[in-house]
Amino acid sequence: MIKRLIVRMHAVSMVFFVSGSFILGSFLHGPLEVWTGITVSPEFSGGKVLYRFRDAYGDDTGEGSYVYPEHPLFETAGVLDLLYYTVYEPQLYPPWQSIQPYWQLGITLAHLKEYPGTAAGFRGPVIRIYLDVSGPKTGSLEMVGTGVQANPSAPWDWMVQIDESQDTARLVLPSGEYRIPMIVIPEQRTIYVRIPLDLSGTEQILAGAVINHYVMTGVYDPFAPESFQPAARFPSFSRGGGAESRDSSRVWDIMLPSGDYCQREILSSKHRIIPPIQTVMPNRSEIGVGSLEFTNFSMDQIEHGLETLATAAKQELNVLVPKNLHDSELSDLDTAIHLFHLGEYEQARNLFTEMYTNSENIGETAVAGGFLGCLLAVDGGRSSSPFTAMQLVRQGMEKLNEAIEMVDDELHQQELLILLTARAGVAESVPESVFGLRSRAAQDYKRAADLVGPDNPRERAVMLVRSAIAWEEAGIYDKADLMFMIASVYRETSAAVAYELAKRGY
Amino acid sequence: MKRKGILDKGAGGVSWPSSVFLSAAMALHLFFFNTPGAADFGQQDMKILAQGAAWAYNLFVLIIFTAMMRTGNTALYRRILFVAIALLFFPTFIAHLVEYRGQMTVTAEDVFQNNVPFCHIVLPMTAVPLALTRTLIFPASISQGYASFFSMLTIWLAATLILGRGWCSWVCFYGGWDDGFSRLKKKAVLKLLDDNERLRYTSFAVLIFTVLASLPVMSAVYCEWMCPFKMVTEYAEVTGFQSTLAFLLTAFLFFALTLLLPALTRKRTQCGCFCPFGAFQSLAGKLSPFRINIDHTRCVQCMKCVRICPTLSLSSEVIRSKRSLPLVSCTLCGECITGCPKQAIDYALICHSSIGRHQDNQKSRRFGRFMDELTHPRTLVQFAGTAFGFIISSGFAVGTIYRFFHLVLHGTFFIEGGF
Repeated sequence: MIKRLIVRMHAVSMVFFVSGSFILGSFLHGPLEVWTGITVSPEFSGGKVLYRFRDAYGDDTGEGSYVYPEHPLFETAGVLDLLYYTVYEPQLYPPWQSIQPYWQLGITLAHLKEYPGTAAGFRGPVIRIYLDVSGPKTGSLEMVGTGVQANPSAPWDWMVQIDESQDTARLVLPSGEYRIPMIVIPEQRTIYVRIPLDLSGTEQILAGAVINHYVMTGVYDPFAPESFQPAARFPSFSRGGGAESRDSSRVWDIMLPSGDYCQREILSSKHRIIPPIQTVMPNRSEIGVGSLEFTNFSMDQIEHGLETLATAAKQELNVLVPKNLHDSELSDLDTAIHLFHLGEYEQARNLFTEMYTNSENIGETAVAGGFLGCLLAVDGGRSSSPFTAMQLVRQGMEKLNEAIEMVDDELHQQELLILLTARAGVAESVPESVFGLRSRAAQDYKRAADLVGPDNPRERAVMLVRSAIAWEEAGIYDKADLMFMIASVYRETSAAVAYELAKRGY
Repeated sequence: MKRKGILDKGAGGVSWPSSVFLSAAMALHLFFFNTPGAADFGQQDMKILAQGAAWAYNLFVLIIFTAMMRTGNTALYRRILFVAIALLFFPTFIAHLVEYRGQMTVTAEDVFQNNVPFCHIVLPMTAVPLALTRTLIFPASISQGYASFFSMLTIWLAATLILGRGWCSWVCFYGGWDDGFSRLKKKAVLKLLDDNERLRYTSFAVLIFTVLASLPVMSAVYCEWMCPFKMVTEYAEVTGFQSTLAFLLTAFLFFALTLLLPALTRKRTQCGCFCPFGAFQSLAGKLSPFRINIDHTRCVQCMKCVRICPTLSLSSEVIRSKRSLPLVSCTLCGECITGCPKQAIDYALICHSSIGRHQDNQKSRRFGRFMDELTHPRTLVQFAGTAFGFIISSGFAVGTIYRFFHLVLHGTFFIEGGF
């Protein structure tokens, strides 16, 4: 009888579980992703990233004086501005019915708008990638139509051209010409090409190969066989301007290796011999270990320079944290904030709660309220339940938003600064895929940097770098680049700032 | 003789108070999950029709459910609902892809951006690589947006805990194809499956093969090469020899396994003999508390149930050896329950026989009988199955009804900005 009752109750509760499970499940998807750490295999998006090269933002001016054509396609700055060049792991056994093994390369521009009517989905630029895969003995130096020449130590063997004429890219190999797959993702401002690795000669890029890459952009000319339109002295509807003569280079932006290379000088020189950027293909067993992003630096520079900077940055951090709170003449609010930064959360919580309840000072109440929000987010981070964690982080952010609203005026600039950095701290600590708060963090740090002003360059530089890193994590690279460039002015003020900049090749 | 109406009480049907109570509960469920007017319908002039579509689908499901409860004819009304789910699912699924992607086929961009909707059938193939590498070998979103990995996983888990392999006859938005086609002819033209009962285990072989084959290539082999339902959802863009071959293979399998063979054999050939998810679900289905139970004290061994079972889950050996449970591939479709002339078969709870619901025992108290009807395994399966089928299908079904209105009034099935 009891067994029968239990089984029946179980079955009935299961039926009520039908509606409940669906509702509960929809709340759990985000936390489950965080908790399990599951990701989609990178093979679908072209494989693991082996190298990512960065080019400066805003240098799409060719010899330094080029301006875009007046055609509406070029009204937004950045359509010819190379930002990143990404080299992927070759896909020897690609999934999802990809016909052949391939090697993916990605080009990120500062601006890429989708034009649905065009074959390739985008319009305006022509992009060429020249690859030297066979060393100095074979290959060509001539880069037809561009007005530049390959380095004699690295003549090119393969060429990939991306333009709007077709929804595939053009691949030129010693064995012939082919059309190859091209993927345009406007949201990422990136164009990907996939070089098939079953064509004659393409096996050269495998294990251990040293490959020299030349990457450049120009204005696409659909009527000229060279595809690169020359710049005129003055811009017109269909032609860019700013060129010194008819023989000026037709390249608007070019990827250069780190070192004493200057795009303006190279492109305006008489010979215009361009230096390549270099990669070494790791063995498949090394892939993952040898992978490195932002490799404008040589390995030596990275190993020695960065190590020194990293040590200096750590020392700088140690100096910044007060060791003994009792020795400092700190107010209750400062003590509570320091306790929070030292990880003494319970003590900090008690002090903040007392201030939040009793203080009549709006600034103090707001800061205390804001930090109670931070503590909620910390609780979320320590919670074993992803669902609770998400709730607590959201509540924490709400409290911080309220606190910032309270002090967002001329009278409470110091409190506003504290709260903006606190909110940014929370926004940069939580998983981006669940909360999507990195842009919020970047904006808060930028605003905090503006509040700090140039009188305190070290603090300003730190805020700018943190803003840049947050933009980078949000995938908004042009804004990240801009922040890094502004921060690089203050490089000397902080080892931590110098370290972050050096890591990225600034 | 007066023909019975759809609300007349049949053998195994519930009394009026119970059917009113259960229908009210189902109505609450339907209107909670599919509230007419809750969605943003875009074009103002179509708003009323969009609400009408939601009302129409809710009422359709409610009528089917009430008729199922009242008449006790689980097989017929389940099948009507199940076929409706399959037929209403695919037009909106495909239209949605065309509206957002520009085409039905999976493009390189979709794969690159992990925008391919995740499907329950691919679950077994992704499980082992997921456990080994913590990566999903399918280009779907993990938790964001539409048909993500976790959304399908949680739906599957909940449905499995409740219905087990009943998923394949109540919830699956593909199963209605071969279920519907298996009922086109009154008699089987081809008795191939009746004479080769071991074919019921083919799906287990397909499961083992696809799971093992997916491991070395780290790709969902069944989904890429063998799934017939790509014809009514999406298939890879045909760009060369390999994708053409995959397209032809899946088209052939769709035609053969879900249309032709079911029509000729009156069996669900795709779901019963080929689908690896079905085999997987047979094993996972052990978690469900519901089973089919055969009362051998009533059974006269006429073998009608063996002949009508669409998934080959009953065999003459099972009946002769007086086993109380059908074979592992049973999908709780209810065909044997409705078809048994002696009412010897019914839904039951695990470890418990339940034959004998709805015997009019005049001595029992009215409330006791009411409670008995509400908690009877058959009622619970009917309720849970209908409710889950509705949850899975409502968005697509309403979308399809609305799109037909749109087609009539605006001349196009597609809606700018999607539905």
